[in-house]
Amino acid sequence: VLHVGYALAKIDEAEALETLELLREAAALGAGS
Amino acid sequence: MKHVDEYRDGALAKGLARRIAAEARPDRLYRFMEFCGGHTHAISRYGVEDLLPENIRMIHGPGCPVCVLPMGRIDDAIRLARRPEVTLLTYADLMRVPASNGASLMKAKAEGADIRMIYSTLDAIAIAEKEPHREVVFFAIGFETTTPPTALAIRRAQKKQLRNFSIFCNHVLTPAAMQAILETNEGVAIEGFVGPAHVSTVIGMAPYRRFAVDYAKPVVIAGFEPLDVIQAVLMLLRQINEGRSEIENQYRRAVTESGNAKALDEMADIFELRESFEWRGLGEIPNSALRLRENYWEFDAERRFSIVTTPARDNPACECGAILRGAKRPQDCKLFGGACTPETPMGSCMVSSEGSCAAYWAYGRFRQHERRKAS
Repeated sequence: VLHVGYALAKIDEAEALETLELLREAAALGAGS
Repeated sequence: MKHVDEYRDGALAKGLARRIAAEARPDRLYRFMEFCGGHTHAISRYGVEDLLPENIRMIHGPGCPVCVLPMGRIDDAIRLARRPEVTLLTYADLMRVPASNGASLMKAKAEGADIRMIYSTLDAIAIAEKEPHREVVFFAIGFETTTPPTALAIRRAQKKQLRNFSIFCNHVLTPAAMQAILETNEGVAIEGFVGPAHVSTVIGMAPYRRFAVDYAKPVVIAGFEPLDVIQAVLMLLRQINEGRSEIENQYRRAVTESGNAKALDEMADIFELRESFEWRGLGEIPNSALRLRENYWEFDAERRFSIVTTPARDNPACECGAILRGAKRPQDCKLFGGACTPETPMGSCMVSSEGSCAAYWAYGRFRQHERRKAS
């Protein structure tokens, strides 16, 4: 994560994939509602 | 781009929106504030509000550093820049912010002041090194995201023994402003916050605990992509429906519990709290801003140039103050879209791309609201 030329944080790949999985699950629940 | 495109998936957004609609209780209103201008921008750009049910309202907060800087401090910077020995360095979005009597940094530059735009504090150090005969002053603004780079510039200037470098410090703190919003007596009912993304990568989750404990307000830290924001809304909605007030982290891919320890250590070593600082729209807020510690006073432009800020009055017709408090929306301002546009900004909220007015104007969201109201 870059801000005004500096790196503030590094993206955690595993957490990113887990968040996407949660998003897909919630969206799938939405499709059934 | 990896870790960006996945969070802009339209089909997923619609699925999440249906979930939100299914879980939102029709008999009540939900009011959530996204504190950060980056979120306001994402909400406007991707039409997030159009995906939400009518009874979920997003209130746009004051998390735009350019927008909350009081006019008096811009006046100070212009006075400073007009000194013949001074070169004032600034991030670009400050250039067009209106100051008193129709002035701005851009106009002062056109009149001959040595004002230059930079992209990073590293540029500031390079200029100070290259031009030792100039008094190089960096106009330091921003929340906890831009403070560590300023701290690193101070550290580097000290190491290089740069005697011609100083900063005009206007760094402000997010949690103090969130508390001020909750304590304002204006009666803006906020039931939860979408917490900042980049700020939280630095400060972590702990500083928000008091909002859950002392004010019973949930906070969900969220990334800046549209799916991040929509998921945060769903998480807030669930907390409210279940009677919980907790600090949750949707942006786990970048934000940790304790934040960026190195950045926090640098900030703590170089800066200390000001007793009070004026915020545009929010007034004086105690312990809400930073200044240089005594060990670094040699780099403090306020001391070097004896700057004493004189409070300045905003244009009385401009509603930036109420918009920054979440009390009004951009289209509630009589100047919006008429006298005040990005080409001719009357208030700070129309200048910065993170400002609510600029975001509404750029993506035409106000027209949709008008249409919705009419129908």
